[in-house]
Amino acid sequence: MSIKTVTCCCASGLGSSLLMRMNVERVLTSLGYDSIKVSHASIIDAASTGSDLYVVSGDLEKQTKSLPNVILLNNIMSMPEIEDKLKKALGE
Amino acid sequence: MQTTFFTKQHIQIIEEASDWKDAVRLSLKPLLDTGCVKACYAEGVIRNTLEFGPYYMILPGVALIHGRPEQGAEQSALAVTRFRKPVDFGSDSAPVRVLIAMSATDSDSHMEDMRALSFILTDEALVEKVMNASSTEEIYEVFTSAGTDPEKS
Repeated sequence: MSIKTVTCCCASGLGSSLLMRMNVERVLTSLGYDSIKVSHASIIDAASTGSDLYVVSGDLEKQTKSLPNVILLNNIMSMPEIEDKLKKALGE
Repeated sequence: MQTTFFTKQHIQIIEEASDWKDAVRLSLKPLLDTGCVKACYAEGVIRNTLEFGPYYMILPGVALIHGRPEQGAEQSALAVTRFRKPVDFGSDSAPVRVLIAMSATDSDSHMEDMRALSFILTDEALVEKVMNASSTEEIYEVFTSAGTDPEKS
């Protein structure tokens, strides 16, 4: 499936999710995916964004059960982990 | 970083906090002193923590505390406090050595400052530097010289 939208989620939707979004944008640009739209939101608002893919910190795993396509991160500041998991999700 | 968002007055190296609540208040003090947050903002973060657990751990030993805008954020700003004695926030998280305190008036402001912060936090060497800094100047240098894409330099 082609992924056009990604939403990064944290508990509040203000702090970590914004930083995650920047990290994800950086990785996607370096991989050449300039047209994928990345946003950030609180985990509560996540489902309403209707995104193709969600990137969430591992400690919020329990709250991701209703989301269709999820990447869980052990370390939201690890660029290698983000790159590795995004590549798998994008089918590389 | 923009000087209204982060200044030398926003950096502290403190010996210890009596507990995590004290750490939250101490780390927000520079923002309170400069009018970026109201006193109730720290209490809001503490209440949020009591209800949801410490929702702001971003790296082992590093927390990015923040409340909702309506909890008393007056101006978007960032403060950094290094605690010489790590603070226990419970919940199986590693004791906190660096507490970054943020006030955000909305979820989209200061994107460039947040981008600079993301470059710092994804760089292990820079995070180590802040965790072990012996002066506020060292921390200031890390925060003001970051912001350019490391892949481009």
